[in-house]
Amino acid sequence: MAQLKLFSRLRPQRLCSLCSFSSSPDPVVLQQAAAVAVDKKQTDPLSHPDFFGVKELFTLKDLFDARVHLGHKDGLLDPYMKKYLFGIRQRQCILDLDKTVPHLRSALNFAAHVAYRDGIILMINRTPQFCHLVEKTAEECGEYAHTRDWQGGCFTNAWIQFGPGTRLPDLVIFFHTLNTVFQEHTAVRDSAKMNIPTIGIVDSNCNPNLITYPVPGNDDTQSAMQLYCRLFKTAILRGKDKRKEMEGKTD
Amino acid sequence: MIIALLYKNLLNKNTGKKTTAGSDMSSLSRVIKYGTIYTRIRDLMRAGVMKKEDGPLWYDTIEAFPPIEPPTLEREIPSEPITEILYPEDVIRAKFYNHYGTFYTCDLENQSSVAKSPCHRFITRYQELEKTWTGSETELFEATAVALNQEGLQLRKKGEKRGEKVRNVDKMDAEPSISKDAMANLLKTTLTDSSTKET
Repeated sequence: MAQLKLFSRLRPQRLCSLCSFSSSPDPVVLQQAAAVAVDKKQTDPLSHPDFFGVKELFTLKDLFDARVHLGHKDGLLDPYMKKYLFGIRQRQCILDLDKTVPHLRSALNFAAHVAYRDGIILMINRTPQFCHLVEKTAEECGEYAHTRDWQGGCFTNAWIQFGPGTRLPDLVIFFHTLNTVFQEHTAVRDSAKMNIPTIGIVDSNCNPNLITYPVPGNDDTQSAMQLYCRLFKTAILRGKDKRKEMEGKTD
Repeated sequence: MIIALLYKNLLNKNTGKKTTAGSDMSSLSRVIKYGTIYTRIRDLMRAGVMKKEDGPLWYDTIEAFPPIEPPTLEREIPSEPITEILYPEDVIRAKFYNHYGTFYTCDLENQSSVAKSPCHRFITRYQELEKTWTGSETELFEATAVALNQEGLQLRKKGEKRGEKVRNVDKMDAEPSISKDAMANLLKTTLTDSSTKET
């Protein structure tokens, strides 16, 4: 109490804020505050660290079994991917799954949040091997896919090409960042230009710089691609289901 | 996929936000060389050009859950050399393949086939014997091969041919497997049987 009086003399304008510390905190008030905090965590998706339970969707062993750690040859290594490498084994790049796991979790979490907010998600892939898989995944989660030739001004000239007021996607997921001639897909740069966040599976020969949520991993193996499609589909559907649940509660 | 139809359909999606002709708030800054998408939108809001309500859908989410590294175009390349992944048993592996070569098939889809591969079995046996071995490395190598032979795994040296087959052309003039006497008896019995049948 003596200390409080000293402070109030020195800084009279801060007295109001100090008054709350004059008595010991009321346990009832504390309990109410805690209840509000818990309630907020349950209702507000942004205050919960993992609102959609994305952590339980996969384990590091699942990634290993799906051969997500296998990269391309050392000569094709992009310098910006060096930090995601575990090492090189017999000239083949091996990606560090300890780094892939948090990246994939944050990517899935973001995708679920965008789906929760009724965002439009576009899935892009230019490898003919997985074209059908990606289109099917998009259809199953009620979102969109683009696995064919990319028109130059699809994003940057959308209002001329498709009409004024065209709404662009709120999230672009790249299952393969490169196009058919092993150059970065135009949509990576265009999404950054149009301020659209991107999630991208970046292999050892890809440039991860412009991608908002890169996921270092193998993008050429059947098992790995099936895993990614399954995970993103589940995350997006969870976001949508939570949305319906919340809307149902308020009604 | 007909992109135009896709996007035209999206116009009807109810977001509660109005987009007036000519105003596409997000594309006010198309600069990719500096900053990230988040910093550009944030700075537009700070400058008062864009209001919080006109902001993009993902803005609050990216603020709450930022990416692990900010997605800038220009970044530093780490100068540390990349580690070469090597194991102590690679020495044994190299010797094995130099000596015996590859002569078996391995199903790469099935991880359990690794345990059955001759090289893996060789390495595990070698390491087991190494613990109590007193002689030289070459002797240990041969001892492992002998031990595996006893288990049923035949290891052939690289370049060594397999056992000679009867189909070999050089053997065409060789002695028949059946003895001459046995052959004579066989012919006698068949010929006499046929002759009695005719008469």
